[in-house]
Parts: sequence; structure tokens; C-alpha cells
Amino acid sequence: MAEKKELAIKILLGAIQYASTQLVDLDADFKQKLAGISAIIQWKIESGPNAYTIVEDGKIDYKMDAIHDSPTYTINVAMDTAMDLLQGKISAPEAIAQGKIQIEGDIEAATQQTFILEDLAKYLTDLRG
Amino acid sequence: MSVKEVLQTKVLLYIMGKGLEEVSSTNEEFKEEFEDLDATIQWVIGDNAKMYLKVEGGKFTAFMDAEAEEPTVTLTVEDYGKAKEILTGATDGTSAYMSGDLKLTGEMAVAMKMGQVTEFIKDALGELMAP
Repeated sequence: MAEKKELAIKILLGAIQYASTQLVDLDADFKQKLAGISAIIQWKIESGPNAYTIVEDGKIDYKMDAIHDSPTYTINVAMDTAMDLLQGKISAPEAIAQGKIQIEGDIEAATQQTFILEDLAKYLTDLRG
Repeated sequence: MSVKEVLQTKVLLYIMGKGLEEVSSTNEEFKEEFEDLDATIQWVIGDNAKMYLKVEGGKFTAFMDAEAEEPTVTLTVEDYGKAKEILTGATDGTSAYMSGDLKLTGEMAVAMKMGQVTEFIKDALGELMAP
């Protein structure tokens, strides 16, 4: 069961990263919000996968199963919370306020950039029907 | 066609493709079941979503937003809503084919194998694919 959950969270984390790269091309407002942002967002999921997101020049890229040397901030999150967060069951600001996400690094940037997950959630919350 | 439909379709293709990459390299039952499968399976949905799966000895590799040069089989769905139903399992592939929502060109036998593969991946991804 734990293996299933670990696989699911790895695929979901990758899917969210992929979705963010695609949304840049599909949603002009999202692209506009990214203008001027330069950030490396490291994801560390407890007992689960790592990945980091690169935001630069209005574009997003990502690397799965990777740890960046000097991320702008790191999102530390338990597997169950990550699942809820990535599926849009809890918003990033809610998760931060409830202490379910620990941010290391530039907390101000992290707070300003919660729109990335929130905008994705607008499109993906009913993904499975 | 809305941004939501296109993005959801792309993400569902990603989940299937990357899920198959993971499962086909780690799940012994899967490896045994599909070890004889060698094929290139192209998905084309609407005008904006495509992905192909390269399968060698049952090991899947997904290529997002790409077209294969010589696919063994091509699965085409024009309507994003229908594609979502197929990719989430709400409609099975055979029914979609019979109704004309899913069109196939190439080797039918490989397309039929994909039906079994899809069931496997839904089970393997558990909570992620649960409604």
C-alpha cells in the first residue's frame, strides 16, 4: 500500500510540474504573473520523491528526482499533505497556515508564488471526473 | 475546446505515460505479463494533446507532446470530453471504439493490449486514480 502511495505521489508531483510548464503556453494571465520571477522551488516529500521547479523569464521547467544546490526556497511536506495539496484538496496558503508545510529559505517569495499551485488547482481539481 | 480541457487531457496522458514507465520498470507481474510486447503507440487527442509510448520488451518509455515516425498503432480521439472519459476509465476503450469516439489505425492487437495495460496502471496508481 505504501508503495502504491509512493508511486502515486511521484507521478502526481511530476504531473503537476508538467502541467505548470504547459499552462504557461495555454493561459496568458498565468504567464503574465510569472513575468519577473526568478526562482528555484525545491520539493521534498517526506519518505517520497524530490523534484525542483525552475521559474525564469516567464517560463517553467522542472527536474524530477533531483535536489538543487541552492533553491530559492524548499517546500517540506508529508506524503499525505502533498497528495491533498497536489490534488487541490487543500490550498497552499491553508497548508502553510496550518503548519502542514514547512518552508525553508525565502518565505516571502514562497508566499507570493502560491498562485502557481492555486492557478493549477483551478484547472485540475476535477481531473478524475 | 477550453484551456481546462486541453490541460486536463495533457495531464491525464502524462499520468498514463509516466505511470507506465514506472510500473513497467518496477512491477514484476507487469514485466512478466508484457515482456513480449514491442510497439510504438501514438495517442492524438484534439489538436493540442499528443504522446507516444515506445515499448521494448514490455518496458515503456513515454514521449510527451511528440509524434512517433512509424507508430505501430495510433489512437485518435477528437473530443476532449470523450478523451477524459477514456483516460480516466469512465468509458472503456472497446466501448469508445464501438461508438466511434476512439479511432484506431494500425495493429488492432496492440491496441487491445493497451486495454489490459490501462487496467494495470489504474490498480498500480491506487489513490491517484480513485474518484
